[in-house]
Amino acid sequence: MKKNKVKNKDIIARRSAKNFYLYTSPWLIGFVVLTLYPILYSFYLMFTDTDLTGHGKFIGIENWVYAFKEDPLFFKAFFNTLKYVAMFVPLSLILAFFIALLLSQKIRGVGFFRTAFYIPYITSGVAVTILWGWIFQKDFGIVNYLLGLIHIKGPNWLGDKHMAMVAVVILSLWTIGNNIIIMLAGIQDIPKSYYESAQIDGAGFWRQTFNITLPLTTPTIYFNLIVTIIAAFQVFQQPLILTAGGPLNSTYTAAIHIYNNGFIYGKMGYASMMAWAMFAVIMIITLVVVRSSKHWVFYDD
Amino acid sequence: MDNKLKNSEAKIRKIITYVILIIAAIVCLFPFFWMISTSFKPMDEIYKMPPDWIPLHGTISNFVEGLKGANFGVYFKNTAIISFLATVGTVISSSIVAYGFSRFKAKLSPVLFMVLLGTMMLPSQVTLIPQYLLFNKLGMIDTIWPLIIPSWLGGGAFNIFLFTQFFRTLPKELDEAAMLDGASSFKVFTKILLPSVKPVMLAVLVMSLVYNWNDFFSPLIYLNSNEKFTVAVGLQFFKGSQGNVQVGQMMAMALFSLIPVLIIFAICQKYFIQGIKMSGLKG
Amino acid sequence: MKKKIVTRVLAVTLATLMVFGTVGCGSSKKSEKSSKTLTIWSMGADNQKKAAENMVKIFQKEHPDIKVDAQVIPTNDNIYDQKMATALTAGTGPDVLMCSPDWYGLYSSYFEDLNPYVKKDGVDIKSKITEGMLDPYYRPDGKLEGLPTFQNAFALAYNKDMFDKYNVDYPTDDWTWEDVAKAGEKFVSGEGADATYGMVNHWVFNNFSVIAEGGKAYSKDLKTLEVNSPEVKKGLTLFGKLIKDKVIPDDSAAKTLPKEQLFVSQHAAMYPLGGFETKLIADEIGTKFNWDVVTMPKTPNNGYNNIIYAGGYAMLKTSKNKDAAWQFIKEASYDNEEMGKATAGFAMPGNKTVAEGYFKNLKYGPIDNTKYLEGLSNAKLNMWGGSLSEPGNIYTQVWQSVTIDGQSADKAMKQYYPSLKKAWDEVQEKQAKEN
Repeated sequence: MKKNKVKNKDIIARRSAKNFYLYTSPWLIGFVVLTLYPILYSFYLMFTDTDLTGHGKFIGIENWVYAFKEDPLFFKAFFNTLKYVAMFVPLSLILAFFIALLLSQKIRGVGFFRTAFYIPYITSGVAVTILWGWIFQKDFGIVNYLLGLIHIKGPNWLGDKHMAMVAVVILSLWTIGNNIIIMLAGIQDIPKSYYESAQIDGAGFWRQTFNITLPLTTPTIYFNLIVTIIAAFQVFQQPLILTAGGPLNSTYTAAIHIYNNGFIYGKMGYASMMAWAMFAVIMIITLVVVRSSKHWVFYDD
Repeated sequence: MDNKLKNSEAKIRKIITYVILIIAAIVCLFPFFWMISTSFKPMDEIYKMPPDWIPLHGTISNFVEGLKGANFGVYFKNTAIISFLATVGTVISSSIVAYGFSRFKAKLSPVLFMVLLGTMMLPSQVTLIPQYLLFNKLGMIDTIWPLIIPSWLGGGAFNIFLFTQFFRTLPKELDEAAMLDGASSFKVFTKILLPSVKPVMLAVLVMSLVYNWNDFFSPLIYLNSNEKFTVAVGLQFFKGSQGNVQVGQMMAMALFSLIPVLIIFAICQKYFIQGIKMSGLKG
Repeated sequence: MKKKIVTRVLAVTLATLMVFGTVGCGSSKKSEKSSKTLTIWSMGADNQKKAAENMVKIFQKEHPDIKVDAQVIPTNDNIYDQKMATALTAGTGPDVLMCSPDWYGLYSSYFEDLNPYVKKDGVDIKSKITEGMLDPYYRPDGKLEGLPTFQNAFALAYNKDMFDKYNVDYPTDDWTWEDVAKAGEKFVSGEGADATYGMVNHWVFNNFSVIAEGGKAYSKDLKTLEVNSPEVKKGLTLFGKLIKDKVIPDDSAAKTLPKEQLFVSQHAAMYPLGGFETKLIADEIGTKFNWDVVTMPKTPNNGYNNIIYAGGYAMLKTSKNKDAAWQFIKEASYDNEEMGKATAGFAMPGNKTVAEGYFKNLKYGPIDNTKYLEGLSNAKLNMWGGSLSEPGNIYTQVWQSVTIDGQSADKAMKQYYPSLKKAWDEVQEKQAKEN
């Protein structure tokens, strides 16, 4: 009898394993065939002085020594990146949640609003990048024009080393359309019956939001948190387009440093080392978030 | 009395909601509006300071010249083909893989899940060249395959993770019950799980479509022939190496190319609401 | 059971690989066939793209026997470089590649030495190529990396209406940067949307700060760094003062904004007009105001003073059509007047006859190309491109700390020179190793 049970469990576990490999096989194949080699290759490059053309020799941990001891921009770039992450990640999560919350209400023209909030992401291609410089221009820029209406002299956004990163963050917040629609999907997934019973209990809007919506959206928030952290650490396009890392390297991020070293200075080995350093940082933070998720992410089962 | 108070409270809340939404919408629509306005402006009006929001002498010459200047008809077709194939691949393969990750366990599954997340964490700048070498070995340079195959092989960690999160929120009893009734695991996936995450499917569809539509880097690297280029690459032809830009024509062509994406989004967003079906399932 | 799954996954992987493989074989056969066609990659957008396409058309017409596969690749934000770098590494590059002498040997190892081809032809190419354009293509060791097709220098454009309105004398060809500063001050007025400036802040000023007062970045043989000199510091001080006095706005870090807009919208009286944008800007100005150009301001000792951006074609060592490739490269440079004329649409052609005749007389709005041709032998090639990008980026820090942070040139140079020197030495070391 006992034996039988164990056997049964075994069969279920085996079947589960079989199904796991079966259903994840497209990704497994893609990973083995397309992703694994580039990853291993860049891991190897980290210990070489390979240039852009693929020539180089093994130099041990010299790249690491150089980064920590000699490269003045290594820590600066990481510090700038951390600054960006610290500003952008919480702001984008809060903003996305509240906009999604508003969009999930019963309101007229909700389709229009949804489209409107997604449009910045759709139009984020090359064409609109020119506009960004305009928006933050100190004399004629839209932001400073609006500030001028309420008698505030706007800062020199792109020329001031203390403000430029703020401009980059604002710019990034503009294109969180993806975060919003994912958040919206999460909120829409909450069974209506929960709200109905809360209403019977006399719970107001905010109580419903914090007692029902927020906890039940935690799996989505968890997702957004992780992918936003991962993406934010690799911020590249926005500072490159807006300020090219300036002024005085105040928006010079780790990804720009990797790009410059790899493609402009031709130091692929060193770039790979930095990429892996970044990987390690992101991995550690992600693991912390994943571990912590047990305490604050609620799955509905 | 109590009811009345509640009603007026709800009213005020609604008004505030609208005010916030309208202001935010204006902020968001601003670049789009600027694109439209610029694309109808003649050259010497574009740089007026402060700008006129409505062109004084509206013209369609930017559209005419833009279409004449480069192969936009061809770019458009290429973009449509690549985006379609890549988007379909992403939605199908990422949902299937996510089903595996969320519903089944193997010894390696937690490790593999971290590996999956890990693939997002290594900056693509350092994997670009080896990846290119790989596609070159496979003889796929200057073909659309490097732009499509990854979509069919999982469609990216982001989308797999997203589906996984949503599958996890669905109670397991649902599929277990169906399995006991003799449904195959694939049937459970297509008949029970997928229909329950329709909003996510549409979200992935839209995100993947926009991503592929706007992506200029991969097509630029993997395609050599001009007649295979996409719109996003073509738009770069209005921007010179020294930073001089044909702004009007670029906006006109960008606007032109965005229309289909906008229409698809506007259609899809309607169905985002239908996710509420779930409540019925849970009863 | 588990083993079975693993084998199954492996089998599927292998099958996929095989499918890819067969596709691969198919197309690699194709590329073998097409190795008889001459492949050419040019960079460029807008007018430059049109010029490159027209050149190929003309070449094709005259050589119907050579099959040409020519592609133009967009160029802004280094995307051409990135595409090229991947293609060169993988060996999937073309036969002929547009290159620039301001790469300073970055891709030298991929380029064929053209000296033997020149020798075989027995033509004195120097006499056929526009003044000053050929030299930068010779590496310090004498290797000829490519032949020039075009180059662009700058001229000082000014808004006549604004000069009249502010009662300032028009610039002349003999102006120095000091004169620019003196005149520019008179335009400074207003705030916010009403602000007017003497001159636009242009990215090329970073380069001009080195040479404006007669300084140099490095020696002609590219061996010795000479940027830490009183002349360069004086140049930096000059631009620092221009920005402090608001003659030039302090927006050097802003990148996306088309820089000409202040000039075109009449908020700045002067603009360093690049040869590559003459037509575009003439179109943007239209009939809004009267304007003209003079040569760029001179150094204190009355020397011409200009920065050049240049491009030409190089042959890849991997090319299987070297004769056809050489034919194209030399015709694009000096041996085909029609191709020279096609180039003239966006830049000064390498073909001397075309540059001094057809190109010189091309008119855009009120101006022609005469001013671009003056003092070319004294002009400096863009100094921090290609393999010199890292020292160049550090020089940008010097530039930004003077112009944005208001530091003195001395202090800024003291702070950054050590790392600049170090980056410079690294480049030297690397190039010495390669030779």
